[in-house]
Amino acid sequence: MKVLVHDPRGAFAPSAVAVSPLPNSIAGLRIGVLDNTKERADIFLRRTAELLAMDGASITFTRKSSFSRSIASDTFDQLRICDLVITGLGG
Amino acid sequence: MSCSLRDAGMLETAGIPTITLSNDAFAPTAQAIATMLGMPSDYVAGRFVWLPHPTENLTSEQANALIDERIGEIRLALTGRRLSDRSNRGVSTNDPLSLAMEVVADLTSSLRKDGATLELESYADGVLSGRVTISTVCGDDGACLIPTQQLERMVEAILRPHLPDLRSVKLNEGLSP
Repeated sequence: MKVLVHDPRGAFAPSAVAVSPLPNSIAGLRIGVLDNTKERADIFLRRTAELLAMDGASITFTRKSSFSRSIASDTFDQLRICDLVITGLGG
Repeated sequence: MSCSLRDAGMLETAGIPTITLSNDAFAPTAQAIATMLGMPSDYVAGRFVWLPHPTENLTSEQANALIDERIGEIRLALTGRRLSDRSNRGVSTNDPLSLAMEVVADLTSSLRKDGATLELESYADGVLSGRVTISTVCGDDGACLIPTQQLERMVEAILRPHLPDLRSVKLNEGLSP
């Protein structure tokens, strides 16, 4: 008689994240900015947004409640209509 | 960093490409977390724009000037024309413990900047053991930067391609005085 023994240790196998293609140019893009609330993030991101707006992008600025939280659903809904998102500061 | 990458993963999955501005001291952490989350190996290289550490002590004028200086790189990242070579360095030893130490050296250095130390102590029967000592807590809500269980998974993820026999990573946690 065969005895089947299962290894209970499991394996680390994250499911692959599908990455979205980047646009070819900035002009005309709807760019979402996600401030994660880390120190000075708003200053870096607002200046970035200003400069990209000069390139012809329209900007939607959003802010998380805390950098240690995931994006709230209402913030995510604001970003969902964007072509691309810039976030920061990672660290 | 962990939440920023989770956010990016959520947005990417929803069809919205995401670029992250980040402090360059955390490049190894970003690479480890991206690997753990199942992102492509070149994700961090292509989608992160690095700002020189530290950034929190800059005045508004200095922060604006830094972005003015980096906007060209940000534009290239937004349009997919930039790829850095921060990740995927080679390793130079076959001893499993030495190899593991070498592979996680950047991560160890990055953790040290956050006030934590990571020491790998032994490798036996596919189990890599070590110790993590945490001295700082970040966030108003008391959330730790990297919980030990998550750190174990990060170390496992970045070592897996180099140590095919690796079964698990066990880190004992301690608090420094």
